[in-house]
Amino acid sequence: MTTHRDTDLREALRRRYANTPQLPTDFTERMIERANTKPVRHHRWQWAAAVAACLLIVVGIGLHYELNETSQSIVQAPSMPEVHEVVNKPIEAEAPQPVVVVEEKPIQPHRTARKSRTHRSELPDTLGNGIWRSERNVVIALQILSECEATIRREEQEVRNHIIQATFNATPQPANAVLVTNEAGDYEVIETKRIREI
Amino acid sequence: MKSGSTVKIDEQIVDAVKGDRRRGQELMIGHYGQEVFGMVVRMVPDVMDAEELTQDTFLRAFSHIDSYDPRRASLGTWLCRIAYRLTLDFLKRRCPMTVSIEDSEVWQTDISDEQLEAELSTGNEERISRLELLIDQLSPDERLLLTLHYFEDRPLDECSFIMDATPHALANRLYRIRKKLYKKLGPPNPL
Repeated sequence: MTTHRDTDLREALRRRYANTPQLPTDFTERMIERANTKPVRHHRWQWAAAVAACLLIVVGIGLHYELNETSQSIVQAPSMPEVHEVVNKPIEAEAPQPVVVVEEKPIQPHRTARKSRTHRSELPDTLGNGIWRSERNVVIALQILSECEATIRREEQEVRNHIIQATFNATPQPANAVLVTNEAGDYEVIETKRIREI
Repeated sequence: MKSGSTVKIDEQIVDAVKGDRRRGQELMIGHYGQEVFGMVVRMVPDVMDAEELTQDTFLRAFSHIDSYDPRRASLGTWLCRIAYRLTLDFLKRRCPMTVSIEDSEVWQTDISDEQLEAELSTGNEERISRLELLIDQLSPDERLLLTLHYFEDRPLDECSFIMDATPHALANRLYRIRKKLYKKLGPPNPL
């Protein structure tokens, strides 16, 4: 590579940059101070710990919601059983059976809970939720479920008995018709004649 | 070119930075501070910015002192290379560089290298003064190349190390800058 003379250009550059500003006198001191100030550095393990903590929080929240959802669907308040038809028949002498017909239906909330659980278990566990369900949790859930079932059955029976009693009181009954409780705890309208027979 | 004494001083400084850090830093700044600052201030007009960039250059050099290879370039050239990169990044952040339309016109000017050399070596006072003003109109990159080669008399090999370009590419660029200046300057007035 040849170096050009270009004297005009060289002279112009020399004049232009003849008075280049000088570094301040305290530059070295400031520079050294800045160079030896240790920056706050986060070690790798600190980052790892932070990430792990975040993951734990997320998993905790997820688990909390999971358990909350399950218990809510089980402990839901039972609705009143539907009375489809109430037929009052005058009890005749030879009438074989009581008058009140209450259609027994399986309890709605109970079925919903069971249905939803069945539905879930049918789905493939792609998210790996299964690992969060321990055996202990299942046992607790089954206990809660059986308690709920017993409560619902009892309340249902009470409602049914109320209806029978109300119907019995409101409608004209034969003189020999009485309201009794059978072995299952249900009210039943029978004739005194039948009692004798029994 | 690196002289024997320069190589020796560079070795001492590098060893000092690696060993007694503080002493080495003082030596390096004391020896090359003004050179680096002078180069940066020619690209960045604001002195405060230039000072900041010089500080960044030395900080970078201190933390990467192990990567310095004395066989490739002198310590001063290596520092200038760091400073050049930092300054370019700074300028890109501040004002994105644009290519002037005038540049395309420059190529249309048909003039040989010898003619150009003659045109830029007239000794005419008025032309020198005008050139002095025209230098400021060049891009920071062009200004740096001119000053490295013409003002500091650095060979193109050294300039190529600093500016991370081949010497051939820099020679072409230099020719183009000179042509651009000649075009703006116009032919000398016949006496």
